[in-house]
Amino acid sequence: MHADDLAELDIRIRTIESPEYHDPAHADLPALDLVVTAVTVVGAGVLLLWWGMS
Amino acid sequence: MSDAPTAPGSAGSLAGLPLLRGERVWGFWGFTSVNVGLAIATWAFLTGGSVALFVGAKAAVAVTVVGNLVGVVLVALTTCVPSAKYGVEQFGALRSVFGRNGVRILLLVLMPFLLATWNAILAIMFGRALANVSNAVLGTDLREDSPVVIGFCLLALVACWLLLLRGPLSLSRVNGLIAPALAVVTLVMLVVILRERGPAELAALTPLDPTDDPLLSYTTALEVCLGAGFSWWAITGNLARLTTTARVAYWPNLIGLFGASTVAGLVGTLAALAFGSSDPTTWMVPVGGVALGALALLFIAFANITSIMGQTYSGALAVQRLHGTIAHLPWPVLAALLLLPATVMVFFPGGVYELFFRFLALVALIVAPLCAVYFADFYLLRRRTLHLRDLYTDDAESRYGFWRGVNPAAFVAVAAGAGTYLLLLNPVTYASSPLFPYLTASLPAFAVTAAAHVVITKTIVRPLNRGGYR
Repeated sequence: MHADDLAELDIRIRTIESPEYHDPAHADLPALDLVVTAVTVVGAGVLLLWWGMS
Repeated sequence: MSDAPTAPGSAGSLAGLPLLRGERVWGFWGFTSVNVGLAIATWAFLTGGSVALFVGAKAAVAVTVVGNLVGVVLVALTTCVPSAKYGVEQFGALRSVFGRNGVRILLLVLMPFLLATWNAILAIMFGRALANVSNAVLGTDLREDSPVVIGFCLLALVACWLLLLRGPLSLSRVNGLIAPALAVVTLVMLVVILRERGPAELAALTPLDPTDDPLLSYTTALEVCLGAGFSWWAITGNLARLTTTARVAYWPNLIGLFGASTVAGLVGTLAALAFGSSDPTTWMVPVGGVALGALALLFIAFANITSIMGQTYSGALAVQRLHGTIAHLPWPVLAALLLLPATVMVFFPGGVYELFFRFLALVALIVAPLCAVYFADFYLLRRRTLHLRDLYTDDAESRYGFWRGVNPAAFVAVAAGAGTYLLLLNPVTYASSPLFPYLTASLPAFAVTAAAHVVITKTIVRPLNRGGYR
C-alpha cells in the first residue's frame, strides 16, 4: 500500500476501534434470525423434497 | 468507499479499505432491489431451462425452491454477514481463512474462470435477446450465432464498461429502475403461461432430456439448483459491505437471490417444458406475444447489463488485492481488463451458452467447498469475530499471517470437499456414483470441507499457534 493509503487505513481503523464510534452494522445477526433460518430451511426442505418426489 | 471507483487513480487504493458508517449506501430496499435485479436478470431463467431437462413441473417446484434456498442461505451467511459487519470486501475478510497469499492464489485461479464465463454468458444472453426482439418486431432472421448477435454481445460489454465508470451508485440507480419492471414482467409471464396451458397441462408435461432413473434425474435437477444458489458466493459479500446492518445484509438475499431467482427459475422451467427449449430468449415471444415478449426480452437484455456490472465491480474489488500495481490502475483500465476475457468468449456464443448447466456443476465443485471453509472458519472456529487491524497488517505482525501468508489447512479442506464432489458427480459428463441420487454432490462436499477444516485447525493449526484461533 502507498503511504497515503496506509495513513487513510490507520485513520479508519482508529475511528472504528474508538469507543465513541457506533456503527449498527457491527452488531451480529440476531440469534433469532439464525434459528428461524435453520428451522425454515430444514423443515421446508424436507417437506418439499418429499412432496416433489411423491 | 462508494465513490472510490469513480475517482481515477485512487480507485484501487481506497476500494479495499474498511467502510465507515456514512459510506454504507444501501438500506433494506436498496440492497433488495440490487439482489432482485441480479437474480431475475440472468441465470435464473437459464437455470430453470436446465432444470426442465431433467424433471417435470411439480418436481421442478420442489428442487428449485430447496436448491436455491439452501445455496443462498449458506452463501449469504458466509459472505454477506462478515463483510457487512466489518465493512470489508469479501476477499479481504477471506485472509482470515486462507492467509493473504492464499487469497491471491485463490483469486488467480478463481476470478478469470468465474468472471469471464459469467460475463460471457450474460452478454450472449443479451445478444440473443436483442436478436429475438429484432426477429419478432422487425421481421429479421438473425441466427443465434450470427455476427450481429456477436455485435450485440460486444455492445453489452461496452455499455457495462461505460456504466461502471460511474461507480457502484450507478449500479444501484440502474437496478432501481430495472428490478421492479423485471419483477412485474416475470410475474406477467407466469400468469400468461398458467392461463394458456393451465396447471394440469403443465404438470403433465415431460422433461426434455431425463435420465432412465427418475431419482437420479430428480437429484441432478436439485444439484443444478444448488449450484445456482452457491454461484452467488463470489459476488454478494462485496456488495453486502455497503449495507447498514446485519439484517439488511442478510434478508434481502432471501427476497432477491432466493425469492426472485426461484420465481424466475420456475417461469423458465415451465416455459421450457411448454415450448421445448431451455433457452429463455427463444420462448419469451411465443409465451407473451410480440409486444409483451419483445418488452420482456428488452428488460432481460438490459438487466443482464446490471448483472455484468455487479459482478465486475465485485471482481474489481477482489483482484485489486493481487498486487499493488493492479490496485493503482486507473478504474477505467481495470474495468476494461476485467471485461476483456468475456469479449473473447462471446465470439463463440453457441459453445459457451449450451454448456450452461455443466458450468453450474463446475461452479458448485469449486464454490461449495469455498463456502464451507469460510462458514466453518467464521462461525465454528472464530465465533463470528474477526480482528479488523489484523486483516490489513503485514504477515509478520498479523494473527492471520499463517505460514508465509498461506493457510494450508484451508486448502486441504477445500481439496477434500472438491474430491468428495468428484467422487459423487463428474461435473462435465454428469456421470454419477450410486450414492449421488441420495446425497447430491454439493452438500456432502460442503459437509466434508467444513468438518476437515475444523479438525485440521483444532489438531494442527491452533496448537502451533497460527491463525489467531483461540
